[in-house]
Amino acid sequence: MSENQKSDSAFDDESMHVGPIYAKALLAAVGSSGNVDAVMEQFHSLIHDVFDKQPILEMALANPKLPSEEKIRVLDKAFKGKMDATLLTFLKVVSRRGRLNAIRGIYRAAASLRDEAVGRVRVLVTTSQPLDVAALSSLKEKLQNLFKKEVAITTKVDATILGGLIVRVGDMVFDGSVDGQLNLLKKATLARAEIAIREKLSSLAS
Amino acid sequence: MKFNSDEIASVIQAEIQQYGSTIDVREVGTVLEVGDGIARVYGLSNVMSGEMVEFPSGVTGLAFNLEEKSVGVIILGDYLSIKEGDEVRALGKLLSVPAGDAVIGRVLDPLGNPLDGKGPVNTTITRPVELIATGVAERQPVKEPMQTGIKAIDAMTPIGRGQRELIIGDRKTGKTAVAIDAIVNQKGKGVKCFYVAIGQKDSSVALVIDALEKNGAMEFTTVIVAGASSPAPLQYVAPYAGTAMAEHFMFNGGHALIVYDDLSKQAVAYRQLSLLMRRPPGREAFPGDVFYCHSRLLERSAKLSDALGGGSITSLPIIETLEGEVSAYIPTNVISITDGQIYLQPDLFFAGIRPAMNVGISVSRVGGNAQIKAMKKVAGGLRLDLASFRALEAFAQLGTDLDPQTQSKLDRGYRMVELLKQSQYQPMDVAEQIISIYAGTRGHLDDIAVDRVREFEIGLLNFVRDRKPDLLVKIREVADLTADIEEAIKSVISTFKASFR
Repeated sequence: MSENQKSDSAFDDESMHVGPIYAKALLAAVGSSGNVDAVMEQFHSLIHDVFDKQPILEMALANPKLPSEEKIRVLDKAFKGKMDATLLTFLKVVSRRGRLNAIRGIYRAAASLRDEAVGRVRVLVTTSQPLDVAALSSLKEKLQNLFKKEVAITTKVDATILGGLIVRVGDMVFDGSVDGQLNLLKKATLARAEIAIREKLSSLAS
Repeated sequence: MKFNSDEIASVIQAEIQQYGSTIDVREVGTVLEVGDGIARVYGLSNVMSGEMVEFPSGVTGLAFNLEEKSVGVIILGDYLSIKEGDEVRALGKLLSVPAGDAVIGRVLDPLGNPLDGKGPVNTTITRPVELIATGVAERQPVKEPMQTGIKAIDAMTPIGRGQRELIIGDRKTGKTAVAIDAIVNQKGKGVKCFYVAIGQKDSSVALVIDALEKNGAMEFTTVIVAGASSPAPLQYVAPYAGTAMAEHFMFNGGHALIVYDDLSKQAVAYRQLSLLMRRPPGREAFPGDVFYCHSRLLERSAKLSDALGGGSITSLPIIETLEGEVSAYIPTNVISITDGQIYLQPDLFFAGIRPAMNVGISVSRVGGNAQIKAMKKVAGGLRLDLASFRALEAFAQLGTDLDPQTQSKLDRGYRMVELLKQSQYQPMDVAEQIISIYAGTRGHLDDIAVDRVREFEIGLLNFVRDRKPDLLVKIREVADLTADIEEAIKSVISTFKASFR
């Protein structure tokens, strides 16, 4: 379930623009014929288990110099029989349109559209130590009660936050980490000290 | 001055003890690309236009463009410290600058940070940089004079408190000099002055500050500098920041004078930002809302109603033209916004007529309301006379014989032009201006040689200052040209003339 955070920050106007359009079409096509969650699972695995480990394959598929018949042949050879037929057809259509370079954008858009459709919230939880299963499930329960929605938790371990946890939902960050607390304390103390020095200055001047 | 470290330590200790653990809730986005003073940010889905954002390095920015998939941010500060992937945080507040008495006498950048090495700006008062101008009901007509101390301007294109008078001209025609003289003349009049330098060489700004200091004007003046090496966002924000500082005095019943030197450079900075943000270019590649950029700035100069304390901001925007081309985009825009313009011409400047004001096309739309009665009586018709003199002068160059009446008109004109010359940093009091101009317009200079007119004027004014100081006081107090004042002026001129030569 680890969402690829770094590809979010790459400025790729084309895939940002194309992604939602293809994603909508894919979800609509799958929705009428079969199990959407299974297809999404496969799509996720395609991106993270295949492309992440075989970057050469992704580069070859994204290469506009390679004719699309060739790409379709490769796709058939690699995935026929193992992959849901609709998803494979979809990949072929994307290939024929020369949009395989936007495949990650399409996946991201499809995932967020699917979340929206089933009323799921994605939450990124950052901790200093890996969370155990019990803590994770109790956190999930709490968040579900809070948002009144199904919650999909992604975890991230970052030792620099020292302790506590940071919860990120969409663009909102709830920072309960020790590092964040120390920063707040630093700001508040500096502001207070500055005011105190100013008061002192004016009393010295008079 | 010494600080007691124990005392500061106890303050910090108290703060730590009082500190309650709270969860920091913030809205964030990620930097997609950065460069040329702007950043494109993914996320920040609830940010509002004009809201402040903060980068991890502590640099702040303003949300400038809200697009479907990203937010365009202008960076106020060092954009080289920002990297792709940085977390950007919405601060939920508007950009504001320090204001109040603490900014007076300081040299600041557009964010209110000191540049003069005199320590931090010691104030807790801040004002938002962008503010909607006061409405019709909160204003009153401009009627109080704002003396610039320059004879030619105070007599022919008078400026009132709350007026916006454009100073326009080619490079090297003395635009800044006029504005600096106006600031120097505010000494002792309780007017706070603000000089906003936009896109200028730091060396010329240093010269201006030096001139202000030498003439004792820095005590009531704030200089806001966004030099040529400042990033475009700071140059764009500078005039709004200066106005915000001036507004503090206006809304507290005081008077302020603000000089924007110059707005054409600010328009260029705004054009750069807009083009980088991919807003569509219009005429001369300026964005469509460059008019609004200047109109909302200059509308903030106002004369408030008595109910609001009657404070005012007078502004002197400066526009540099190219080869006298006033019909370019930015000059026409600003001419149409302001309440008149002072047009400075290079040929007059090089002919030694300084200030090089072209009387024919310089106007003040507030007019006589911004003059005291005595000045109105003395200088009435002077503008038209001088304009007709210019026409006659051109005609006389053809070498035709002139009838005595025309010749006398020409002679008067030559003397008036001579009389209206004035050296830099020597602003004149209104009473002295009245005596000088009275001598000129009523023909008392007709028998003085043209090249001795200035000498005569200086002598006359020294004579009045030494022998008849009560006359100056009386003119200032009565502020009208009553019969006995006129008699007194006449007799002073004739007594002095007897001793002249």
